[in-house]
Amino acid sequence: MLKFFGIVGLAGVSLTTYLVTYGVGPEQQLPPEVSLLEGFREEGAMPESRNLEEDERAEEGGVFEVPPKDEEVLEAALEAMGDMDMGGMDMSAADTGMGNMDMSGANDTAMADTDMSGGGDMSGMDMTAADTAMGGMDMSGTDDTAMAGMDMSGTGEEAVLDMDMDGDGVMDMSSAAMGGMDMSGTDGTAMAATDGAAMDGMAMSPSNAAMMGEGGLLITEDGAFDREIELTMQEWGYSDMQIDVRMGERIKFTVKNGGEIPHEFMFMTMPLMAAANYRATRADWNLLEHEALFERALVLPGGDFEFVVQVQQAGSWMFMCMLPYHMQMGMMGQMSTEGMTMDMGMQ
Amino acid sequence: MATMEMDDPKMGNKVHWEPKNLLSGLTLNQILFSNDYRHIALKGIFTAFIMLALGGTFAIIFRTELAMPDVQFLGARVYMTLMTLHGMVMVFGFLIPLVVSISYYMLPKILGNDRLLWAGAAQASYWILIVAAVLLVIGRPDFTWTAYAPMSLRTGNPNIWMGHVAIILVAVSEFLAGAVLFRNALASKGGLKNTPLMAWAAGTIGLLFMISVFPLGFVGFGLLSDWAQWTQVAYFDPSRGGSVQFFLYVFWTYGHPAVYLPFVPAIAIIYTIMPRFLGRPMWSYWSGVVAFVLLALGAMPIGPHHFQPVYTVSGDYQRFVQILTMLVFIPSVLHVFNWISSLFMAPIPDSARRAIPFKFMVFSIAFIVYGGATAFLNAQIAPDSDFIHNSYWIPAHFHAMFFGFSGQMAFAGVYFLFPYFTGRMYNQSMGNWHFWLWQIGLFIKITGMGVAGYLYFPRWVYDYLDIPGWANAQMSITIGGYMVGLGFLFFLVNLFWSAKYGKEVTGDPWPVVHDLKAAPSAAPAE
Repeated sequence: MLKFFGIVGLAGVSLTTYLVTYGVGPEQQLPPEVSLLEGFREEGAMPESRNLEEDERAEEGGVFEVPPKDEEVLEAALEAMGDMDMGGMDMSAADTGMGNMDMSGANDTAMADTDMSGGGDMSGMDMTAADTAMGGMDMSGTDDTAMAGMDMSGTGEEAVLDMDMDGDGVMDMSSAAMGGMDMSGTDGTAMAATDGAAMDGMAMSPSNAAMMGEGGLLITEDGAFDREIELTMQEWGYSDMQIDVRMGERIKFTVKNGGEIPHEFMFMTMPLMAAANYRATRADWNLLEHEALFERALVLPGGDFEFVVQVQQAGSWMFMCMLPYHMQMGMMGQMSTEGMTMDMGMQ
Repeated sequence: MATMEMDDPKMGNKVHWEPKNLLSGLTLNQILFSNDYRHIALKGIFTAFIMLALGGTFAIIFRTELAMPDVQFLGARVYMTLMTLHGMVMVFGFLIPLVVSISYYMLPKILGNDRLLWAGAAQASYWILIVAAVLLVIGRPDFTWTAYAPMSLRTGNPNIWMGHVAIILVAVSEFLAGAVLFRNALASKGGLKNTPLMAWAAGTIGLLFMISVFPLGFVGFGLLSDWAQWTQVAYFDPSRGGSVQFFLYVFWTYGHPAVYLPFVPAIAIIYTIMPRFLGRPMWSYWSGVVAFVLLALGAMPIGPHHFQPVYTVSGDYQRFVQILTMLVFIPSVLHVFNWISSLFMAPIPDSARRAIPFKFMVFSIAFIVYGGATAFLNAQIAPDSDFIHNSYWIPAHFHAMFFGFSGQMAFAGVYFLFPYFTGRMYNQSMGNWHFWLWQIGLFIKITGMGVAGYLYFPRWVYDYLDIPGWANAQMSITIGGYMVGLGFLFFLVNLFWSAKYGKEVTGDPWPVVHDLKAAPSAAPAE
């Protein structure tokens, strides 16, 4: 009996080991055979395509019922962000200049139709006004205009935008910025140049075309900065959980993973966090991390990275690690301008 | 004390215990189809060893791959296939059949019937399981042993239907095995007060087998039906109106009792051989009976704790399941304290101290305490959903329970039975090698898994990043796994060698001798 089972066992183990290793065949990732589903498709019981994104009925909501509130919450969040960017602004042909720039906002315009032609001196210009928009401002002919120190604080705070518009008239838009300026183009404001003579120096190459960051932050790999902040990620938190910033400030972040496991780093706006939070309550694990203003996934222990943030608007932003449960353990912090700090219940 | 009542059912012993060589002189027909309970049981035991060798080989292969970060020689698909078959073969092919076969062997002797009732059903159960194993090996499913839908419907393997059919066959086989155990427990003449604990175990677990395999059979059928598109509206496939949550509930309604199916018969082996080695009855008969009944009652409703973080029903239901889960500790702890009390209420005889089955038994009790301590953490919803779920902590827990306890206890049973079916005694030093390699290897392996789980190492990955601690934990698990494999080789050599050349045993192979120095002549054979 032992002999029988010994032989059967030896043969069985060798054969099976062969079958489940070399015998398994090549790596493959295949969807179920399409032909299997044909009959049901003809009867209308199946979506047209396995790939639901390609399927019209899926989009109509017949296959996947996305709860309507999901869409609403996300749309509201994205809309809130959209107010801050330059949606629809046409910057083509920017190299010809930005003369006759029409930056009309929809709201109460403090400086509408200001004529700045003729080499007027704009230094010390006070643009303080609630919800400032520079609608219709004609900045043609500002070649020799010094715009340094222009106070364009839109929220009534004492924030001075350091607009780098040196005396030679070259407006360095790559590092400086017109942050804080409400350039919302609700009607798809066009910045197409009509007057080629104006603002020659404002070279807008494609790389700095996004001078307005999303969500009130302009985030670049590097560049000039006013202040440096070193953040260390660890279990469970950031070395600095509350970062106070001023509007217009350019901050160089050096983020290092000082913990023992991988972490992530991302910036999100508050409306987006509200949408993510709503999803989390529905046990939907799509936490919208790819909508983040900035995302650096999987920073290994000891790893670090740098980036420069320019704060272009008053507001508050959250930074966090979205690896599962890291946020719940406390890996989330807040960056806010004065007066905008939100109570996150972290105390 | 040295003279014990062989008929006392509470001692777990009856007549019909006589060392005899049952292995040789059998025709092939007898080996394969004899309805003698000893032949059925031995066939089951040896087949379980083949399954252990299979599952162990799979484990050694992917353990070698996992010992270091980066991909050395195993791709994802082979890894998942090996992992699936490791789980299925070890649970359905090795652990449950081994303890059931040992029950087949011991029950008729303990109850004094000397025959297994419904032996035909036991025979059928065995062969259906063989068919299931062959299907698994040919089909090579790669959807992990839990077969979660819709993953188990969408893998790249065109033969996964064989896995689904194998699940149905396992259910049928286990139903028959449960029926045999239940029927034989009913044959006890002891009444409520004098039925041996092994028969109580066989009765309760037989009942649990028969009830709980229906969800498993339904899972197999539902997966097969969904895969083959037999119905327009699927059971589990969400793209055709099925429900993945429904799958979870159905599967784990079997899945938690499935944990007890090897567990309870292993406990019964303790209740059988411990009084035999100690030469005195167990500390408490009734706590054992009550614990068996409570375990069987608690098994099915607590299945959802296996997917605690993902059920999105009310928190009240979560807490209800958690409380039920914690209540199951009570019968488990009743058992453990019963054993510990039995061990400590009087000196342990010298003869027991040197007996390999007794050593295995004591260390398996240590492992059940280890596994039980981790179970206490697992049962809490908060740490489970935040940290534990799907990390290596879970394999640490169930390897301690499945292998550290149930598997080792089954081996204690086999060592105990060895002189009875070979007529010879095993080789003591090879037995010691096997014993120590397993204790140390299992401890390293299980603790390594716990450490990996503590470092958030996820389950079911074939490759990982070189994150501090991960590679060390994986390497230690692999080393522990090699030691366990080496120990099993010692056992196999011992089995084959001692069955032929071991010292012949006549009379009682396990005499209780309290002081071997005073009475060296009474020493048991070796």
